[in-house]
Amino acid sequence: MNKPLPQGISLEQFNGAIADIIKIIGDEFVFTDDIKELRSYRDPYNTTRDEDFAPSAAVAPKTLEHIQKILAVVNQYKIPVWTISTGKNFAYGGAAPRKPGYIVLDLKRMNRIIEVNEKHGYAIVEPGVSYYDLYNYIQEKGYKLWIDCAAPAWGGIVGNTSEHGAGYTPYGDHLLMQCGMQVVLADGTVVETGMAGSDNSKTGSLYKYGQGPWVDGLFTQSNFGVITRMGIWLMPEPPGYTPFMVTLPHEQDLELITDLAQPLKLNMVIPNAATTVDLLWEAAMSHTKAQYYTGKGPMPDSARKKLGEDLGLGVWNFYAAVYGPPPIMKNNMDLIRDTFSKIPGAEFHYDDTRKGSPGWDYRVELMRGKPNMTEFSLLNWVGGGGHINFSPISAVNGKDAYRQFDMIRNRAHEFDFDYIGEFLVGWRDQHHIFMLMFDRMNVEEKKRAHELFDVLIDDAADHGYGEYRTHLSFMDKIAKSYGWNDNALLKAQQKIKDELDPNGILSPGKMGIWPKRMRDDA
Amino acid sequence: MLTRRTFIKSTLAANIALATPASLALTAIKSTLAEQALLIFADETSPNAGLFAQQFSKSQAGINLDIGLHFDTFNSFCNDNSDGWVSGITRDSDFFVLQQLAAQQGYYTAYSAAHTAFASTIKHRVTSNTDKAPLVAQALANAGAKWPIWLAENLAILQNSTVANSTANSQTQSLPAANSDNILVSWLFVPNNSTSI
Repeated sequence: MNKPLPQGISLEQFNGAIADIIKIIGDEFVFTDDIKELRSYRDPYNTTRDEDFAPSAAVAPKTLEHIQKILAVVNQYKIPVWTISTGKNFAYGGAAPRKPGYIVLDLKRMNRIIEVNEKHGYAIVEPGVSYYDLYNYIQEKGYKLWIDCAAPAWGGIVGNTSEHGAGYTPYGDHLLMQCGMQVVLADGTVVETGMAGSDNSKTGSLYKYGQGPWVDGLFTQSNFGVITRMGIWLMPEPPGYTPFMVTLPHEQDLELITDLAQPLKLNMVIPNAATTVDLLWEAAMSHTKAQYYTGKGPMPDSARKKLGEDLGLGVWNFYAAVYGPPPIMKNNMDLIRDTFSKIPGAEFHYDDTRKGSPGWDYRVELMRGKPNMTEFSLLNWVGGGGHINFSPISAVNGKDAYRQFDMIRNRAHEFDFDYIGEFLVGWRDQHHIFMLMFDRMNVEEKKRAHELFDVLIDDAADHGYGEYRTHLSFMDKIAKSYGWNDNALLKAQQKIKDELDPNGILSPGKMGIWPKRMRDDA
Repeated sequence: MLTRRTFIKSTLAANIALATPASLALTAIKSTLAEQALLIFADETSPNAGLFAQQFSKSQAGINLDIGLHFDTFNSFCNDNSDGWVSGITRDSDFFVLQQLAAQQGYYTAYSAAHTAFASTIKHRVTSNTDKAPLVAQALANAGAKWPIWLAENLAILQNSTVANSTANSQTQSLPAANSDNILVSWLFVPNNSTSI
């Protein structure tokens, strides 16, 4: 097997750069063995060739100074680095770089929890801190604070927030709850954003904006700098918590539940990031497709019906929670019950009847910020559980939600895949996550999944929907789908890129943003 | 509530009772195995994984479907046993998650196999090195319904000094009872500094 190398870089140059980096961080934290060491820096779920996203090396600095020195080396050689925090961005590329040959800048060793402030409800963490780490730390210290974690919670706070990830408590919009960050620019300059930009700041994690343009967002889903620490707001532990689930018997109920949930969300009667989850997603927590259907193509309605009846699940299943003192929870639950009871066949479920059901149990934990990994059970739905996520944004609007569902479901069936999806209901938008499951060992199935994804991007764009996040393979295409005014947005991003990173060393191609020197080849 | 168990065993017994003709070449390798620190994961809802686990001792506390509850056990074992092995028969999702943890701990996947049961047939898709993959696949097929026992007793020969990268298939038909496991994965992680036995 040939050593993957960055475009235009000889093995001699590469070895020179690696030797220089070893001098900075030591041999132990520089990984170059393609088979044993770099396997975990590839994307296990890619739908193309494994080598399309194979790094040449991975390096794991421990300090800010290490990063500055490494950037000086790669600037000298013009070798691209691909920054990751904990590398768990699975379904969107995992730890793998956009192009073969990049060096992965793995920040897992920068894993300090710098501060947790119970009174003001925030934490400051480095990129290697996982949701588990922060949760365990808070439990150990006995702080009355909740975290808000992604569904598989082994990922990092900085990584998930900078990818615009979401959780399930009232603090579910992670970037909204971010406050202040420290960033190393490509030339090694260290920047503190917001209030922390002043000397001896005492409010860096309290007020996001400081004076002047708020730049934090520029460093998320981007390649303009390396985030080395971040402030994140934490929810005070409420005096009460009532999770609930509403099962809905018909496909068309998606429209109704969305329209009924919308004012409840907008007025914060339902304060958390609620979810409307389809039957198969729920069933896959504990069952496999083959237990109900062994034929080819998507599961037929008859098998779906039997599955739903056996597991006591709806065609759609709406999860949410209320929080606070008991009188407030009772007041809000009464309102919620009255509202959703208008849907014929809707059934409410609580802990007393659902406890022990895998889907219920893990969501109850997530809606109170307790990390778990149960959602990975989805991978067992079909054998060889590969998946990539197609993630368009929808309005919290019944017609839009149903149109998106219908569009994706029909295409998925056309390509012989199941629709497995959920809507994560925010205040004004919904993240619609279609989990495209395939056998990662089956070359034909991967190819078909890739083709389906490609078509879905076009379909969504035709309907005016854009995606909020995507897999490495589709970053360019989706960036181009934000095409208003001759791709003015992407062009603006490219101008910023060229200014901040003239040698184009930081994560080239991230979200379709290529540096000048690589733009023609992209 | 569905539960699973983990098991820890410090010594792997050398038992060739189930060695089949196809695996004769492998049993010679196995006999050289000395004491080996070992952490075993087994999906308790699966009869086959249970059969595998029964070949080992020292059952630990049960857990539910959340593999995250095993992270501390996994990491502690790796930290305490620099040359320890980790193996199991689990759901594919648990294999995937543990494989990522293993990589962080400096382990690689020396062997894995997907076992797909349908009606009275079980198919084995073995990933090992080029020499061993077809032999292991055939041995599993020859072991019939006792394939998990064969794996437990021949764990040593599954070790490779390189990452498993070659695949071989086999299947056994007309098993006595239908199997509801559908898809399971058996696997072996060994440290990067491990040498072939």
